[in-house]
Amino acid sequence: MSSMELNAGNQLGALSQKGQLLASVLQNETTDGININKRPRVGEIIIQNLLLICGVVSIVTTVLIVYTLLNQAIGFFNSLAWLPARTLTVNSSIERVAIPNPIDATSTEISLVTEAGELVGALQRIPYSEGQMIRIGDEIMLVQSVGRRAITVDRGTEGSTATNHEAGIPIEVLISNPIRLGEELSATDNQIALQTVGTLPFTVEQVIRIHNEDMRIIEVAADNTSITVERGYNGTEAIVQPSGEAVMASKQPSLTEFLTHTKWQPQIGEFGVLPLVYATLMTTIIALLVAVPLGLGAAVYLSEYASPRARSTLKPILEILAGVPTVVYGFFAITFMTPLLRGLLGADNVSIYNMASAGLVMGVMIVPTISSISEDALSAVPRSLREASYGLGATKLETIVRVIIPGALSGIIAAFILGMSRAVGETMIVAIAAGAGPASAINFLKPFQAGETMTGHIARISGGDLSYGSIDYNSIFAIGLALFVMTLILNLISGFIARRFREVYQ
Amino acid sequence: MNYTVSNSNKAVELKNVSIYYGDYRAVKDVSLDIERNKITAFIGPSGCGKSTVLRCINRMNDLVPGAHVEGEVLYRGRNLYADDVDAVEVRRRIGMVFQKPNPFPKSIYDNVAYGPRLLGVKDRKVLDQIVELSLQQAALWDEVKNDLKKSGLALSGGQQQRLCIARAIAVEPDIILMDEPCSALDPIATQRIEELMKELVKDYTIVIVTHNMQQAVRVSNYTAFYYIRKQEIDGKEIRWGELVEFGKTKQVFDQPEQEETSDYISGRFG
Amino acid sequence: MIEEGVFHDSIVKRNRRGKLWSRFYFGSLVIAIVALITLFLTVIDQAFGTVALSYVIDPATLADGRPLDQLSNEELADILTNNLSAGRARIVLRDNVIVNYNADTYTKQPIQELLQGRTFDSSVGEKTLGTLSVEEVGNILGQNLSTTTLLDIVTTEVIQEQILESWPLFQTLFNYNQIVAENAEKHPEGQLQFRSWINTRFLTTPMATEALKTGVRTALLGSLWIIAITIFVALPIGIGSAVYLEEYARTGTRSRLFNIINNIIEINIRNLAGVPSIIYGMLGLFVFVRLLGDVTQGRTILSAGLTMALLILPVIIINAQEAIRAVPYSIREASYGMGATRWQTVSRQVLPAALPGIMTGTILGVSRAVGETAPLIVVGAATFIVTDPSGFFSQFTALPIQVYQWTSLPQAEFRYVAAAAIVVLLILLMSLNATAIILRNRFSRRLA
Ligand SMILES: Nc1ncnc2c1ncn2[C@@H]1O[C@H](COP(=O)(O)OP(=O)(O)O)[C@@H](O)[C@H]1O
Ligand SMILES: [Mg+2]
Repeated sequence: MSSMELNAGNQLGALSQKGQLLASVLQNETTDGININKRPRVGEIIIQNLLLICGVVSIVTTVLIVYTLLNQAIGFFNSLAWLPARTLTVNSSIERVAIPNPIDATSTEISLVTEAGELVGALQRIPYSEGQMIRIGDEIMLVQSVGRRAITVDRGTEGSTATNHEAGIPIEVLISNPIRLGEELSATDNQIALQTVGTLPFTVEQVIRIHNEDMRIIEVAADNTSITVERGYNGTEAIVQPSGEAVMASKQPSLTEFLTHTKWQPQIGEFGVLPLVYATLMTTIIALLVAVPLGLGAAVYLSEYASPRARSTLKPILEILAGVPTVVYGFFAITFMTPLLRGLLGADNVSIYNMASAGLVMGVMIVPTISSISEDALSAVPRSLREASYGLGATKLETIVRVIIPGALSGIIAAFILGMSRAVGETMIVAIAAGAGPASAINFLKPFQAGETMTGHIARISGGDLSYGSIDYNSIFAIGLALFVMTLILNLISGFIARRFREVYQ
Repeated sequence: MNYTVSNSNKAVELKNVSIYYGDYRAVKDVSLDIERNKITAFIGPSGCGKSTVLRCINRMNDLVPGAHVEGEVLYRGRNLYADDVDAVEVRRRIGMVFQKPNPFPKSIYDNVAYGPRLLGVKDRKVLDQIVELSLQQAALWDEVKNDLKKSGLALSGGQQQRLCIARAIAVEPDIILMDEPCSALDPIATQRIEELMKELVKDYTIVIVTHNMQQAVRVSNYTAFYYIRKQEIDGKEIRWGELVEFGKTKQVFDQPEQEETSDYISGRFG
Repeated sequence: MIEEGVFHDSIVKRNRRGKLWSRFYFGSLVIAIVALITLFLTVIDQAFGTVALSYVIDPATLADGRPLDQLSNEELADILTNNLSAGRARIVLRDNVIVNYNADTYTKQPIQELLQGRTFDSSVGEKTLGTLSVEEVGNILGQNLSTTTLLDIVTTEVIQEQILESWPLFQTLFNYNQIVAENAEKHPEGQLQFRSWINTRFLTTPMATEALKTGVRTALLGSLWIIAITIFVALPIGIGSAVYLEEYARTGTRSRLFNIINNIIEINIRNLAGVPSIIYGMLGLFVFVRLLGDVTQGRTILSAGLTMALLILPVIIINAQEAIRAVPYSIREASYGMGATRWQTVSRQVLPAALPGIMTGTILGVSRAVGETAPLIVVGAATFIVTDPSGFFSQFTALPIQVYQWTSLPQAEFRYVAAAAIVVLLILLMSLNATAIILRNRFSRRLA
């Protein structure tokens, strides 16, 4: 009712000059009444949805990352490494001697000299040779080199764990006996006679491989001379197998082994990621030892001491550091830092590829990350707090140390953790300067030795010709997953602390 | 609410309007009528909800996440908050001028032509005419006619605000809402805007928020006085704005009916 | 009662400590800056220097002392004619002009068939490659190859330049005598020469197995291709996400579910920015190279570009968000108040005003992509490739990959080559950043 009136009322007033102009060029600008009805704005809706899709791309990225890593890491844990099956027996023809000194879990050198300065057990010379396996207690070690008074060994091999050993435990020499077919095997026979010494290392359900044919073990004979199998397993063809053919045993990585063992060499069935993690931690710690004091010092200088002009010139210079590609830092590490370290500490003490050099340069690389976040945190500390401190007669330093840094502490910690995450994920510097090859956990406290980090290992493995089915290919994804989880946790913690910090001052 | 406008002269009618920001009710139960081709002033202490009410008249509050309106805002007999009403169309009919002059970082010409271009006017001649007419109406034409290409930001504060007015009227709106349009200006610029408003009101309906009571007296025909109410609930103080008094400006200022009004206009608080 | 002296002492001490520490703070900054300078100096040091070369034939004697690069095609061909054996000359012809050859090439196929579409004297048309004389080969080479290629052939085949040893720049500048002495002692035949490892040849030739001949052409083009794909993919998506998050997700009434999605997107982007780049490489390897292998054709420029696009997406989004947030709210209010729709407001007011910031952010992101190495290694950069990338589906290498490969080679000369490639990389980065600054200045002037 009233609406009718109003519309009518509007018609009465003639359109202004401008209204007529608008009406002359626009169709929906009519002279009668005003239309505020909902319009179908299809274009708007399409655009909004397109934009939403753009936003969702980043979620898709995360999903793809997680999917990739999980899917392929599961592939890794389901893949098998093939190793010649063998038994280990004690070689009794070599005299057993007791270790004269205690050995701790990380040392690779076993001294065989008694306090009197003679070889233990009145030996004339050390009876072991390179490549031999020895056993001390439950731990099996591989002899790497034999000196006149000591041997160096690879600790914790054959799936055993490196532990401490007391003096007096005997060293046993092991012989490895390959397991072969005892007699010719027809294509249908399920019972396999084996030529072997000692206890068979097989378990029921395990898959073995003899010359391209896979078999699943159904039963292991109690007398250790034969096994019963399912022939032609996994779609392989059951074939006639000649006598003496070597038996390959499969080994599957387990999560426990992955997380606890100290050897990484997937092709030969060593699935412990720890050495790579240790090397990563080592380079990260060195990097932080450089970056935290430098970054924090620079942040304090920029936020508390520098004049606005000095700040505006110095800060961009510092930020250039963050813009230099990491591969250039790698080049810097290997052409400048490594020779410098070798010059200072002696070429004998510092390998050409070493974790210290990579870590130090990485430290320089993270300085801007730490300094810029810390600086933000420092300048967020309210003026009133500073003034209160000065008002109590504190000097500038005292104010900084007692008031400003504690006030900004969580921001600084967030910066520190973020820097740590950067260092853990950094690839090129370590790939170029830290070295390669299967690292062992024992390198942990030896920064001047080569050490392969998680990222360095991934880069090295994928830099070669990777065949997609290989255990090497899958293994990098398992490492990638571990790396992703580590950095994600660090980033989340850092973000959480930073957010809490921001709340305090808002 | 002791004053009502005859139906045919109502530009906007607010019926029991309450406005919320999230769970917080900023304004409670406002009912008032705004008369066509008159100037209505909203006054009251800071935070009492003047801007909130003003912005609900052209649905600007839609842009604030969580803001919503209860009650009815009738415009030409339609509830602006009905489902079938297009907020964009509403804003095109009910224009707005803000507290701080906010010209676009574009030329004067482009600023004024912005609205017509949104509507789809492409014809350069038509645009030229609209720009000229709008700038004349906003009493800015003589000052800027020779450099329409100059950036709108290069003008003085008072000129910028008149540019914003020109920009608002270029689409020939029905109503112009002004939220403290002079608070950032010097007295001379303020005076020019006030004169301008008196001119504009011949063609448009104007609602103005002001904290300056003299201004309300000088320019407005009607005055709405809002006030902050407080209440303790469970030991927590709850505040909201309310319309306390509404009427002809002369009457509100000379013979206020409510005690708060007389206290406020005599400067006892606020 | 405190004696004045005691009080004074302690304040002096406190101030002294303050001064000491302020030096430490300043020192930290100085160390960082010194490290940066050292880094650049190391690169410069290695990118230029002295080399000891040995020749089979001294280039100075070849053309009566005229520099070889001023010779014409005919003169260069003459040098080849005069210095090559017929057999060697035929091989050069085969490798450089015929290219596709088989066992019959020498003895059965006539020249006119082998050299279809090339220029040659009609007198040799019937002959086979095996019966051409040195002069005839020389003529064909001179007629068909560019001067640079001929010069290359003269250098490799006639002069047979070889690096005996190289020394870096600063040693050349400050301790040249030692270089001379070392050279005299180790290789008496070595001719010392100043060499800029970065030179036009280096920029324009593809990779080679010898330090003297290798170049970054392929890698430079590969990097440019990857940048192009990265920008093309990441820029619209990045700006789109930022606009969505800032202009659509934050304002207006929305359902709970929507708010949850928006929050997830926000948090997710921050976390993506912290994912190590090598992980993106693994994503690229699995998703683009393998799962979508039919589309991307495996380890191609396209896979690399897409991987890089995902990698820099968070950087672009976060920077664009900041740029958009920096646009004053009053501009949006003004636009909405005029009856503009959301997209009208965004496209006509917000984006133009945020553009300089968005550009700077994008270029930051792209700079990151230019320098990233690890993801490309994992995605599968080619280890040796000499052909220019020709499209989305070419194999690729990129500047940082080259730096990495050359740095990792055991031969010392390649360190110098790596340094030269770093100089190219840094110049590319600097020009990108300069572009950003220029664009930003131009835009902000226009908007003022
Ligand atoms: N965008 C907003 N979000 C939440 N609360 C708001 C917002 N705008 C205004 N308010 C609140 O609404 C009340 C009224 O504000 P306003 O309308 O701006 O008052 P006035 O214009 O009268 O000074 C105030 O308490 C203010 O805090
Ligand atoms: Mg207000």
